[in-house]
Amino acid sequence: MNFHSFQYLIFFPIVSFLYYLVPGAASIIYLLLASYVFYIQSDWTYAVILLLVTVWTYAMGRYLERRRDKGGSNRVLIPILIFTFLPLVILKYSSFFLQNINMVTGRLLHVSFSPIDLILPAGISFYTFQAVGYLIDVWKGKQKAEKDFLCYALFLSFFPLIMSGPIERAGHLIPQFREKHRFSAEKVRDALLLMVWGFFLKLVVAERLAGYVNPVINDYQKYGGCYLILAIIFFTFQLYLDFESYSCIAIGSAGVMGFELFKNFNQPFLGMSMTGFWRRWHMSLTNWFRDYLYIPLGGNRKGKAKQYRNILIVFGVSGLWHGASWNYVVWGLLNGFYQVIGMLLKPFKEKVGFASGGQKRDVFSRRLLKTLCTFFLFGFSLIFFKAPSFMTAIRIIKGCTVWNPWVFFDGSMSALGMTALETAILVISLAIVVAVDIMHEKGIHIRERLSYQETWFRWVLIICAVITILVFGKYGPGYKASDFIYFKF
Amino acid sequence: MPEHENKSINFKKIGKTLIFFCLLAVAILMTSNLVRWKRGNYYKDEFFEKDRSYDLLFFGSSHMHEGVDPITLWEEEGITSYNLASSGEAIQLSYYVLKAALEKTKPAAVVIDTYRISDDPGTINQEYSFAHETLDALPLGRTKLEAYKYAASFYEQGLLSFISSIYAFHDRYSALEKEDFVRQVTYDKGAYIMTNICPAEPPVFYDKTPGKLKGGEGVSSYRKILELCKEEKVIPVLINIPTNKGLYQKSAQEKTHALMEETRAAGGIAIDFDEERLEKIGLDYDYDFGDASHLNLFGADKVGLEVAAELKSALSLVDHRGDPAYAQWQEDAEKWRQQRIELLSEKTEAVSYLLLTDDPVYSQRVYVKKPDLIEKHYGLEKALSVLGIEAIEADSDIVKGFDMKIEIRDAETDQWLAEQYFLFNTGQSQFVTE
Repeated sequence: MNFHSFQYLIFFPIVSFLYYLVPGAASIIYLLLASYVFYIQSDWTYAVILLLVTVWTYAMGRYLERRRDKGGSNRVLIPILIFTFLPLVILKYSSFFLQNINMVTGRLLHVSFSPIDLILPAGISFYTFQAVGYLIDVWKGKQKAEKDFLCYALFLSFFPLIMSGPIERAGHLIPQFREKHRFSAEKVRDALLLMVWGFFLKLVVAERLAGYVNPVINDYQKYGGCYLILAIIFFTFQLYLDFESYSCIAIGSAGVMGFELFKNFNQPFLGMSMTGFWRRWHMSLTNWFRDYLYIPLGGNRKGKAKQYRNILIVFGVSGLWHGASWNYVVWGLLNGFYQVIGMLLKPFKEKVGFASGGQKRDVFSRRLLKTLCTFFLFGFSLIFFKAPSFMTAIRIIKGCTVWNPWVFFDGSMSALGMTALETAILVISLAIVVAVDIMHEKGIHIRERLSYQETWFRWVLIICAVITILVFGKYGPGYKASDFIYFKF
Repeated sequence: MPEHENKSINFKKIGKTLIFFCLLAVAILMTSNLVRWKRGNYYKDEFFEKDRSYDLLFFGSSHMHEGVDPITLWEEEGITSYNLASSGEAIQLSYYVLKAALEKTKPAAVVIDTYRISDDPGTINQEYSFAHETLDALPLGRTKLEAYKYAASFYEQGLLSFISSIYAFHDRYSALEKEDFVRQVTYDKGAYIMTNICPAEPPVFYDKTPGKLKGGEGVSSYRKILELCKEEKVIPVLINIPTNKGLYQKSAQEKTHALMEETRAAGGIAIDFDEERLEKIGLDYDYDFGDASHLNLFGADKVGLEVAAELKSALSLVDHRGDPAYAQWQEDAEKWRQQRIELLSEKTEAVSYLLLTDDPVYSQRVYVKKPDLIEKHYGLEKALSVLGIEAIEADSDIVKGFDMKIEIRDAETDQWLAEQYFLFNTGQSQFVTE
């Protein structure tokens, strides 16, 4: 079930309304049932796999706690983690591994294995990581093994986050399940506003951007130069807004019922370095990698060389997490290299005055330049993210070098749906998004500010927002709305 | 704080929330109505909003919509009628329009065209947006919901797209026009009468042996209409609005005769526009059509008045002209006359412009730079002769650099009412505004 589907518009109000009517003791069972009903809409086999992972990790959590208390070594943990990752590895990566094995065996031994067509359950990458994080936390004593199976099952399947996160921590979410939340009009209003914002980002902006990006990238041989450059810039925004919209709706959905989920984004495009950018982008995943991979590898504690190695490992794995394809690995590694190069160049930048620090250097033009550089470096890496293969990404990069700036002026863009009106809607929408991000960066919380305003003003604003989404949103019969991009991960 | 005070605060909040959601619903409904597919037409809304009594109601597709003019029926015969047909309307949906109309008023008879009574199984064969045009103006209620449910079963867009116009047509925002924002009240009583001239190919008429009906979706719906008329004690009248050869071939004629037989058996009336009747009314396939298959105002007048004459005698319909209870009808006819002058500005072709003023209350003056071009514009000579106009050869000063100027004046007072300049487009072989 998609957040922007009609079914969800029916499902969500009913589930959240009844949540407040269900007695406290039954609320976990109720939410668990609702979450499985939500998840089963995609495919019942997905729910079976989720249940198996839940049973396994629940039991292993209990087991690891007992073994930890008896003073076990990591040799106990590692096989359990490998086994936990197994469904994800088999279902998501077996074709990828076979392709690569075939490449080698095909050349050397003229033998190839036929590809296997397996289902890829929605959200498996997310709940597997959530479960692995839980097991490691239990092993390290940061988290008590959950005794209540239903509560643990809900932790992995909670419907606002099952499809694409945010990747939660047991210590943050499970205690919230145990509390019975009382209805708070202010909190519900705040959460609904966040959802409205999420729908705006998805239906008005991200889907509108997709309307330009997809035909251009899918037919990159036909479109060169400025078409492709604009498509890459648009895709950079699209990816952010698509995932941010999902996160807003997820956090808002949970918030209506009084639950607080991790934020996933913190104005990433206002980051002034790649390191800064990655602290703001998909934070629940980045933090997961930091805590469960980067730090266990040694982090920055074992010298510069090993720190660089660790960064590259983390980003390489992060790339692979996003998709079973070399272009994702290249995308991840490229982002790792950006950071390593940034660190290597730091002393040089200090010398020539490009690094941050110092009152004089902290001027708008400097900040703008660094922000734009970060944006374009990330946008460039996304060519590998968006392209279906590594070689296609290379061809797209070559295609960008075609000189055709006149297409912006001779009306060619309107053939791709970029009419004057559509362009105006897009520009205004993006300006609103950027303005909101800047305000958040300056500590101005719009929803909070709005709550101070008089009722009539709030109502007019909200009604206008809803009508804007309903009229300018890309949805409806004959329109095949794309899934949230991160659903496929 | 005492408990009762707490409760009153909660009630206040609940009340405020309800008000907010009511306002939101109103805003969505208004937006929905704004983006609704309507092609600038509100004639069905007009019908369902006004409480009037009618002698006749007309149902069907564009053939009927463009084939009978209720204003002519009023002015010539004193018959009150409304044309509820719409483009591409399949009989399956006409059934629901008729049902909703009969919930509103009880005419003496309902007149239905045979053209869209399909005998094919399992299809509605009506364009999706046209289905909206047919049904959206129906008043809210059980019939409308039934109609939507029925229509939705034929379209992949689904029931939601019918119930919610904003869901189906929100992307019309780029095509919104003045008519979407400002409701244009029209006094044409539903008809859309074409004022251009185009030759049509006359059909070949075969013998009147009725064909065997398969009982397809359309025929079943027509039978439901006959049942409904029986229940409501309204006379069903089946007619075959004249059309061209391609659309009225042997199979269509056999179907028509079979349906007419069923209509008569059900106590209804069938008016067959066969060769004999067409000759009687003098339908001219060279000049009485607005395009290859639809009648223009000449044709519509001939067909409409023939239907009126037949039904007036068969149903003993009374001439309401002069009856003070029907004064509104005369007022509406006058308003439609004025409205036609306003509509002149939308006409881009000379014949169409002239024929919109086909009314003895107007006098027309046609100035042309090269009179020999007149015969090159199909139908223009005919239009001039029917209106009794003699084109005046004029120099460039009068036609202001164009090829033709048409001036409309009040026939009685000679007061200037409107004028338009035309260029002769050699590609189209027509006098056009652009």
